[in-house]
Amino acid sequence: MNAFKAARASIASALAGIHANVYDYPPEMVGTPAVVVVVDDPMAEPLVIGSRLRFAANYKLMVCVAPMTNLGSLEAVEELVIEVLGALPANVLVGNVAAPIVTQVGQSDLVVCEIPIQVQTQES
Amino acid sequence: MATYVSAGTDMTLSINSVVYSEQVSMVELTVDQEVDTYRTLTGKTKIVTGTDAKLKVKFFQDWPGNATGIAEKLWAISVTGTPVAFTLAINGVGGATFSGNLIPAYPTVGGTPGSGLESDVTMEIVGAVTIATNPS
Repeated sequence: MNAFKAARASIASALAGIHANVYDYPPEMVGTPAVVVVVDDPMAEPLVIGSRLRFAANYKLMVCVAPMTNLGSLEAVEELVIEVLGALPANVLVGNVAAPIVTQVGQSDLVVCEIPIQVQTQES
Repeated sequence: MATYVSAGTDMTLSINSVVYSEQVSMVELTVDQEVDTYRTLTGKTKIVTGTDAKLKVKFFQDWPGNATGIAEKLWAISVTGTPVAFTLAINGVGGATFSGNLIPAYPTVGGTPGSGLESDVTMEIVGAVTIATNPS
């Protein structure tokens, strides 16, 4: 398993206990509520001297809930964001959580909130 | 002549004979000349009276409990302040290895949420810095 795949898998594994579907890649169909691990830009950043294969990998966690009433969707997103933040392991760096927005995914609208994260990893 | 471009990932740093490259995000060796300027009736002259070398290291704080971490090691050897050897190597053809002795400094501790905890330490170098090049 390469370092990227291992990083995505470890994030998904850490989130396995939350009350949502967790995908370690963008699926063709998203079953809500869901958290989707999406590669962010830049995909990888140099981290330390001495090796190109030790790097920081950047991802966005897309917290997705179905559109309901405004209040219902907001509260569902809030609950899920709190769950995700609490479930992430200590060595994952968490950035600023974006405001939820309505986004079309496939044929349906979803309320989506982005959580940028960074994981330190290395290719062995 | 050939063009040589080295990257930060081509460097290795050892302090007190332990390689810490896995934790180090930046290292910079500076050697400043101490210059005295004299004015005489015929003009101005400058004389180099010595050098002042420093090693600046930025690294991720690590306290593994067995002195293999650079933060932990620097903290431990800073108690006495006894100079220790360092080697900074720019590997590959066109690179060089710089060696000397530095006075260990206590690492800074802590940081901000949302970013990795790093220390930024500038250490004074005692005596001369030697250079060994990597010829092609």
